[in-house]
Amino acid sequence: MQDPRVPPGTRDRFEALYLACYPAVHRYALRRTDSVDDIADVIAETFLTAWRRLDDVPEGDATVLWLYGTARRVLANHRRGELRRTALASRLRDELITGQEAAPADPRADVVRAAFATLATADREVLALACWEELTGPQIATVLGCSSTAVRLRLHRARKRLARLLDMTDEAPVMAALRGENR
Amino acid sequence: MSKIDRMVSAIDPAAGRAAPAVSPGVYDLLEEIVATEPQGGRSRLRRRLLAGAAAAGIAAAALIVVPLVTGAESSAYAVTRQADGSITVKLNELRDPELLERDLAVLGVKAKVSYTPPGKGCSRNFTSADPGIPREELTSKDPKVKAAARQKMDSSPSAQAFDLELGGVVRIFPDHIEQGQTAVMEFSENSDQTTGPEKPRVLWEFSFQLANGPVGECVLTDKPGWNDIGDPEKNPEAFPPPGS
Repeated sequence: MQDPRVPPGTRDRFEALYLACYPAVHRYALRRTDSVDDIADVIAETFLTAWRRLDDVPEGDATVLWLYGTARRVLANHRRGELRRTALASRLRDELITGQEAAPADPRADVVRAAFATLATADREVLALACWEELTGPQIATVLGCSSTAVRLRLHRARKRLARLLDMTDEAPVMAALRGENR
Repeated sequence: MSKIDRMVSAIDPAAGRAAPAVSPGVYDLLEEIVATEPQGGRSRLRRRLLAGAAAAGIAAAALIVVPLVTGAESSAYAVTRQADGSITVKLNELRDPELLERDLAVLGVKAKVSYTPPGKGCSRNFTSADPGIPREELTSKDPKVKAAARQKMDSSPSAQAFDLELGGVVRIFPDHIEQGQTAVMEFSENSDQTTGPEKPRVLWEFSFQLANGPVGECVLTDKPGWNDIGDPEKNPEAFPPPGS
């Protein structure tokens, strides 16, 4: 039955963007939180926001960037302890629990992981958007709501800080291991 | 790609995992989301209503720039029960409030309706079902205090029981009105309904408040701030662009 509160076409548009962008938003959440509940909350809250503000969601390639930006704010609220545990997505939660897998133990990657974890949130985010979501400078700027110049500067600083952190750790074996994996 | 970037790529927590499948749980979530209030309506508009309410010192009031009198319909109002159990009231003319009260009563909603001329308000004796929220909390500079007050307002019994939708339709949710409660509604309309950015003003105002127990008769009182809509910076919604 057609919900009288929903203008025609709204549901179709939302469904299309949800199905197209679900994997990206899922991975975005997965990369930034450890708990299954948090992943489900971030996914649910992000898409709920998109549903409520569908007119604000841009079309095309910009859609997923808008969702990343929204997910980022949801996570920021989460870190401040303000995200309510949503009642949505209970089945998804169960699926996530059964599908959970531990990252393969790799002492060399652990060194990088530990250094990365000590970076400030803003440094981590800009590096993650560049290296994990594989976004370009202008795309990162859209997600973060700043200029491309600011992104270049932030990326440069974040890389420098991470490099400095790794210099203080056992860098040689890490580098060797990574060299072997170069594509 | 720099060395550092390659190192970060190598610790991607999602690397090596299969792409998230569109599983039954994913479809469930989609259905759950589209079953909630859609865009535009409730959250944003309601916040606007309630923000106006704080200033007016009543449960909810709105500055909506939609003329009530369309001239296209002959009946003063239309009351419709919707499939989801809610009741919509579309007002075309501010007349016959008692008739509207009676029609709502037939649908199980006890209501007191008053139509007041511009610059006048209704003063009634009744006990509000809503918690008192100090005005200084709503206008607090501390975002946390302000957010908490807004939250309290958004979840108040009155706010749960109605919604004001585009086109001047009032939607009432009978599920959120308890036995013994009365919906006290007040409508006021400016005599000049022409719109335009050159003469911003309040076109009409609506308030909705749930009362516990008996509700007194309407006593007309002056409302000096009626046409005071602030300045465009603080209240941009009262200054629509031409043609809107």
